[in-house]
Amino acid sequence: MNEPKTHPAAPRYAWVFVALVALTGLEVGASYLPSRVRVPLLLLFAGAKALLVVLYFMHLRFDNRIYAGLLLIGLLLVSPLILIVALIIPAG
Amino acid sequence: MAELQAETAFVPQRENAKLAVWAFLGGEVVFFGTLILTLIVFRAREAAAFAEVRTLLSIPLVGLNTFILILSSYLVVRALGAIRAGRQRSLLWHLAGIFVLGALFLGGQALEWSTLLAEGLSVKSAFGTPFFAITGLHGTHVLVGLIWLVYVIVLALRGRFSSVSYLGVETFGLYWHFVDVVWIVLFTLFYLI
Repeated sequence: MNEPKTHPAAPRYAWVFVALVALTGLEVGASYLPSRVRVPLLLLFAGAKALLVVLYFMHLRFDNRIYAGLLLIGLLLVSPLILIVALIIPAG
Repeated sequence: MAELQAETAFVPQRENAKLAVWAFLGGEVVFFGTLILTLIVFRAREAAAFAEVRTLLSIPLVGLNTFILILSSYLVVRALGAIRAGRQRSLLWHLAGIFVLGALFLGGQALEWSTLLAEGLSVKSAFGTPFFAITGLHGTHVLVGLIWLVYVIVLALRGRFSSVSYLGVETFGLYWHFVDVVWIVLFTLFYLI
């Protein structure tokens, strides 16, 4: 069994919050770029923001790995479908 | 015997509710993932319609709404920290703040919807169908979160949480953060890309 590690102190949460707000600002700025640059950049920013919330605010980095496993099962079920459709549809 | 069971379980038995919430969130990933899949199909088939509507969307308003939801998520973390330190009053203030921010988010979404409908965006259009369905389902999740939050506030007012008993705050927080994560993805897919 994985024992939960110590939760981070309040200042670290404040930094995560600042990073989330900064990334949101960058996203809004990036939305005015040409689509070739915009799309990968925005997906990267959104992924980084989602990871910050899940790992720190939801404590997944410090909690029992069973919880991460449950979330991962959902992701593993749906992400191949999204990937396949995203690759097939524009060509079809 | 009970102690033995608690030690051999995958998670401590006192955290069964937390395990259930994580299992539920795993299902929610599939639910919203499927909706995003639908959005990708709509977007690929109706690229022109999506590009046209993009000029109607108010990025500053939705950006502000995104900030509101992120701030509410931060307050959830602070609320949990407050009750872990045994600060009941601070917990209540933070929970009240989360409620106000959640209500503001829904108000912002209602304002955006009414503006778009007034500008002629149809629910039956290629953009309107996935947009209203998916953001509506997300908004419903926020509303459910607010109802859950009222219950948590009532429990907090009755002094049901303490520095050693705060699972009710923690499980609500997991749900609220997840709703925030979903919005992070939707904000990118609908408004920015």
